Amino acid sequence: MKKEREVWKGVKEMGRAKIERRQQLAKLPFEEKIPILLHLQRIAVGISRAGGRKRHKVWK
Amino acid sequence: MEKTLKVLNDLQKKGLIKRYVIGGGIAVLFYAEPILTYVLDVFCLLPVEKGGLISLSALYKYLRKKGYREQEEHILIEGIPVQFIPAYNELVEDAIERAVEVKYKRMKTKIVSAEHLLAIMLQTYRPKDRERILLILDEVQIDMPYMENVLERHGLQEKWSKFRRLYDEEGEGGMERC
Repeated sequence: MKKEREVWKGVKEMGRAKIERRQQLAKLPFEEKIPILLHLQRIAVGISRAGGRKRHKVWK
Repeated sequence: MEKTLKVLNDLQKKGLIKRYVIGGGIAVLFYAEPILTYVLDVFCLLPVEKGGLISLSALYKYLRKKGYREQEEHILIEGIPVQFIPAYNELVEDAIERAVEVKYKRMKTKIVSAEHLLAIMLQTYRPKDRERILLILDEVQIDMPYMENVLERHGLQEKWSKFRRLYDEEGEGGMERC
């Protein structure tokens, strides 16, 4: 039971850290978010194409 | 992106759109962490044509002349699929009127306020809108009195209360998610 509580505490800590990381990303300037978006598009388009779907394209 | 925004600003200067504002996924990305989207949604107020009609045809005709091609429901402007959405109700009109001026590199543009963005997503309420509402609530400082005012003026208070109840009950962390 004690061990379970400790694991849960660790999981909650991880969750908090993830939220903090996302809040930091949210504060990035607009100009810095667009290259991240292009990177996300490249990853997603690559996965879609591997699955035979070609609907989306990466922005130029 | 900069070139696309220049084209949008030119459309406004030429009077093909009275006013425009960026909404949708790019507006979410502006306020919150970067999320995946493929379309630049543009809410716009269009000039009224003869006979009182509001139409995108003049705008599309001009863009086609400039060499931009249509792609499904979008038009590809400088490599970015843009979807022009004429203001379809008072909330969107309000969002355009009270847009926030921002800069992308050296280009000025306008984006919906975070509070209007939340209200619009609450109104459309697709699964991805609900996901994005939660994202913004987690990551963005919202002006709650202003938001309440927007919701009240557009009859969305009850829907907002329901949404809060639904997601506040989602476990110990309330509306916080991992």
